[in-house]
Amino acid sequence: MKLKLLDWLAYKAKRWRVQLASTILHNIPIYQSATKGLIAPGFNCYSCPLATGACPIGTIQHFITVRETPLYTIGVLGAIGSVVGRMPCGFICPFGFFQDLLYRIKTPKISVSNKFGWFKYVVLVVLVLIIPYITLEPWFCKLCPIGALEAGIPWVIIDSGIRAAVRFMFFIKLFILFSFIAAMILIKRPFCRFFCPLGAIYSLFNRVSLVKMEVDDSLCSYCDICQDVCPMDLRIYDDPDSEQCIRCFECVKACPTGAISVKIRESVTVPILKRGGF
Amino acid sequence: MVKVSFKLRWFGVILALIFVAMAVYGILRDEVTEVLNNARIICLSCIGIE
Repeated sequence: MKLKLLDWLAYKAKRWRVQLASTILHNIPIYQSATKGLIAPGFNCYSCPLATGACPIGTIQHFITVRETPLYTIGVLGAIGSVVGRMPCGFICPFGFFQDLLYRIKTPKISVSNKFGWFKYVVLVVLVLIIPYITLEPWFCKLCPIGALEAGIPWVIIDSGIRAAVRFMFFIKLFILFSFIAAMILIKRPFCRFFCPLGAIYSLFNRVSLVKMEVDDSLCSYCDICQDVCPMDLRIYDDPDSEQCIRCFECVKACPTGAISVKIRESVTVPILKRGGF
Repeated sequence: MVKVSFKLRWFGVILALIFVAMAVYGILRDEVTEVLNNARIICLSCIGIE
């Protein structure tokens, strides 16, 4: 089964244009008193003076600190993940776009293995769920480099009261932000691959989502062009359903043999273990 | 132990509908107001002064 929108995204769309449009949509400061009730599908700090919607990770932490279950937020993220998996990371997330832009800076690059991708689940469970539950403080927000970039720096520039209130914690956030910026110039999407709790949530759906990647082994020449163009440094033929795949479709466009395609998943195979044979 | 498997047709659609129902239930519990009230105030933790 095929969908025209998927074909357009996979073969014709210039991804940076979609990312740019999404970044603008995430930051339209018109009627914020209503739009901030909407959950942003990408990572965008709600304390940014321009923010359109609510940061999903900040919202989850808030609900945890008030001892409530964020059904609305989980419902929105789960519905998106069930349909497209981690695709918002590739097309919608403003911070993902920021990382893609920084990696374009011409410098020697460093390749880091995706085997450390599990660390983002540690960040999700420890910094977003457990520590806020125990301390009643949003600890991921306190360390978040996106907050430093989109909220900390702009507010310190435009508001003298906030500037006067700056303490040691602000400089820790700046240090984290600039460390990530340095890493983003040298390494492909380091925040998405190893630290992003929102990416961790979306990645849980990659093996069951409606949209899936497919590699035709009979056509694949294992030339690794897919890895060269992949923002997550993946070899898609190793595992087309990899939790690291952000479904940006760069490999689909670049594959010289046309072995990689994007499809609609019509069924999920569920393995079960049974005692004895039959 | 023998490995067997079965196929779930349109699992992604079913899962999406469950999550949409969850979101709707959250909206009916007035969570949007809670999200809005939280997002409208400046988060001092996000800025780095708390």
